[in-house]
Amino acid sequence: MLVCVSWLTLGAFLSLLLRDHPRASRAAALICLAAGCLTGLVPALRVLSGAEVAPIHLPWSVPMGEISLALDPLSAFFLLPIFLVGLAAGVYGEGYLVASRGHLPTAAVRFFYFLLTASMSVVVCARNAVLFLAAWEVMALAAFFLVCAEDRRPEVRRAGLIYIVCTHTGILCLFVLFAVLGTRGGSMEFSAMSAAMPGPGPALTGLFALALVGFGLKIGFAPFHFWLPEAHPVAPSHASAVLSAVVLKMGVYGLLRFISFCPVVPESWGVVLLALGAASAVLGVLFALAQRDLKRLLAYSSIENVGIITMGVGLGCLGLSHGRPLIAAVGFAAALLHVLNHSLFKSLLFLVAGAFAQSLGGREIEGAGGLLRRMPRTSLLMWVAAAAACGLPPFNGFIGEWLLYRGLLGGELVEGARYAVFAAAALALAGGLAAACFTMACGAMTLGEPRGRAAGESRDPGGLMVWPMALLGAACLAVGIFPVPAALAAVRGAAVLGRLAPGADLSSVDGMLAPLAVVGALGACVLGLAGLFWALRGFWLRDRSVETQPTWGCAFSRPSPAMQYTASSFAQPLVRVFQGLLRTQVEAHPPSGYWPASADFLSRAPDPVLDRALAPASVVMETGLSFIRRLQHGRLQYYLLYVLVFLVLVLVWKL
Amino acid sequence: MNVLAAFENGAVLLLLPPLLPGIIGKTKAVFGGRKGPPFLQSYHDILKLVGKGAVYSRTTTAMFRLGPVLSLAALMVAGALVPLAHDSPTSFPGDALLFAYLLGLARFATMAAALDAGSSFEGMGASREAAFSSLAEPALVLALAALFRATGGLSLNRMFGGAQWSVSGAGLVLIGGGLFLVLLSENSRIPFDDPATHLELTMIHEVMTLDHGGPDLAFILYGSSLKLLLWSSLLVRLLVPLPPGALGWAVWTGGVAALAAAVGVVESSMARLKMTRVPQVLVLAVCAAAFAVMLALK
Repeated sequence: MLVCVSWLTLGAFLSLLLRDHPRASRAAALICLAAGCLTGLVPALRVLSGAEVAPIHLPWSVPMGEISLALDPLSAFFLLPIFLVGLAAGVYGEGYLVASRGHLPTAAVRFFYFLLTASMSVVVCARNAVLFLAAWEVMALAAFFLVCAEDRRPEVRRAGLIYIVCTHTGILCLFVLFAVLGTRGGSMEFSAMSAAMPGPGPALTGLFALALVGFGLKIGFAPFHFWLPEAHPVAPSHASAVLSAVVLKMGVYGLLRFISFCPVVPESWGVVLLALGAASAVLGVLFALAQRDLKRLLAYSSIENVGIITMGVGLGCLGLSHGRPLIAAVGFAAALLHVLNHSLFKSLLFLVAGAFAQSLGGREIEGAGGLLRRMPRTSLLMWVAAAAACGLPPFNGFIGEWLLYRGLLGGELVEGARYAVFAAAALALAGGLAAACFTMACGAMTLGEPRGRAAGESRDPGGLMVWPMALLGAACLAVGIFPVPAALAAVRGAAVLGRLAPGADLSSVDGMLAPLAVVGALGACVLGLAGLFWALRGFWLRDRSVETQPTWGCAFSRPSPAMQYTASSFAQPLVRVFQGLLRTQVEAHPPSGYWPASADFLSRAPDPVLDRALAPASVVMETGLSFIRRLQHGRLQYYLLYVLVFLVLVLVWKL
Repeated sequence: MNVLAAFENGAVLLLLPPLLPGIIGKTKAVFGGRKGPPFLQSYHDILKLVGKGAVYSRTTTAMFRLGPVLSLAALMVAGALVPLAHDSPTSFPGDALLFAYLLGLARFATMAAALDAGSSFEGMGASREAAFSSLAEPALVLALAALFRATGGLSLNRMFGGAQWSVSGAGLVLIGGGLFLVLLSENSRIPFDDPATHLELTMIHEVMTLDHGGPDLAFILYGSSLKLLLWSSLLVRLLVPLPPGALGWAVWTGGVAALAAAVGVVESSMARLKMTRVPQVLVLAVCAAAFAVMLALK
């Protein structure tokens, strides 16, 4: 574990040192990344297959801090997305940086990328709150600098500001949380936290609220989601992939770790998490449907997916509070599985979005079209990831959702928490809307005719970018067809929280997972049958006439690419049905008169939390607090006076 | 589950589906005072299409050709999960969700193929299909939840066929009503969609397949009749207790035929709804299923 972190840190500093030697630094970055991620995966896989790894305790000069690292199955499970996605996105990033031709500060992006990966692996292994918070802050800051990589553009600076305010509000809550727990337990070691937990009552509720806000601001479920669609689109694409696919999951890890400290889990936690998760799942995908910027759409879709994960966590909490370890295990395992699955397909989608953005020169969905013909590999991978994101078999997205449905509908919660059934309906609605959202995005971008010159001239990127994407796509399919190992690993991770009796309960969970093997096999059957029909079709058509003609357009003889159905028109029926929630703003100048000269249409979906609540609130706050600004006016002599006054006051107080 | 029963199920799945559109067509003809096409018309259509060549749009890619193939494959595997007169041999707890998502995969493939032609008509059809099916999905899942409460099983075999009228009659009426609406919407039937219309602007499912022809269209026609059969079988098993043995097949066949005739009656007696009304009817189906869940939870 230490070896892996040191490889990654070495990579970080090498990329700074060698910044004037592009080839050497690229080679060094690739070697350090591969060595770091692969050495990191080994202990993770060993722990997940049942082995033990000795914890590491090293003294640290920070007060109350100790470098104490350990790997239990929960930490090990989170290492999988960190290293798998970290490796794929990092390799892609090298190709991406070359192709971006100096638009990006190469050395800085590389440095912070390494720092981000290394700090995340420390976050999940840390067993000391001070170390955890330090790693958390490094992660947050590295992510901030990646978001701000193109800081010449004003929208990037705005996004960076929103991100850093959010992440620091979150970490403030975590400081309070761990300070309270640390002082109650007398030690910042995680092993002492469980004893420091207060019994049911206002104190416990307060701590849960702190954890919910602190980790929730990282996870990004509603209403703490608003920074995500701002920050994720503006980062370089391989960084967005890691931000969206892995960094959010660190919040999930934190929340799960917090729950594992609690000897008692009140039922209300499960209800709150289930409700927040269901709301985020539906609202996230609805807002995704209203977006016209591919990366923004993907960020909203991440909100949907963290909603699904949060529903799993909520179900697990309900299972714990009702004393049903089986349902707790299924809930947490579903959450973990979806953590892995989402990290695979969402990182792939962001990488695809980056390849498209580079060849199109923009992230607009409406400007593309016909890319399947011009960028066949990238486009095909986009469809694979999209099918996985919609939770369709035979891809991996379905596996986690199936387990979650199984827990929500299944009979083990019969008494007490029966309302959980309605969360399943929200999940189904989100699934249906996701299918609409991704057919819209993929259809408008990769199918039909190109809607602009850039789309017509685009080409697949080089091997350094395509191979990592292909790897992620293959992983999506592999988990979908052979889901049992991943599910078993997730159950092992969930067992850390579920307090399962190791023998009996685990085997009954295994019984619940047995159908997953059939699900995978039937998924393979779909592919096999499709292959068979494809061959049959070829056999039937082998010596018959196969012509090509223009698309049927009601005998209209002058079709143009602009006449295709756009993404906006595709989304219109659903946007209208949910207008009450979405409140899209439309600026349209429809064609008028007999010989209309021009017409335009612009629709926008402002975020309800950021644009409608926080932005006005912060304006009020700014005017309300402006009197404080008089203290800070940039005159050095006054600042020196402040220092003097402060010192005198301290002296007086001490006397 | 013995081999013979699995064989019977498989044979029925392969051979029976195209009969249902024939029954619906005949019913509509009777209502309209016409003679109508013969019962076996769909078989003729499919066979004729299989024997034809193909014409493809210049815009299309492999996605357009893959769509019907993948869609039919997904429907066939979904068919393997559905119990007919005999229970399905490949059943497992939770297969109901796989069934729902395989139908989703079929729809996804059809929509992708439709968008590939780059035509506004097909885009419009795909858009409507996506919108309406995403509203129908919660109705199906809630109906499954209610059935789980009533029967204690999570497999289609047990959920459809285990509920008793004497115990949960009111719930069954609600679930049956809700699922009948979902059946009409999923199979592009009046009042949601009019399969016999001749104006592209008013179609949903038919417009998505405008540019398909030859064997591809044969796959699509067969697939949509298969889907109708699967839904009909589920509904029949839900509402009618099946006796074992050959009598079971007789009751099942009668039930499916009666359901097809009922679809024909609905089609003859009302017009297609305005597109803006369709979501409201689907919400009605969701509400019916939600009430069924509440009844089952009480």
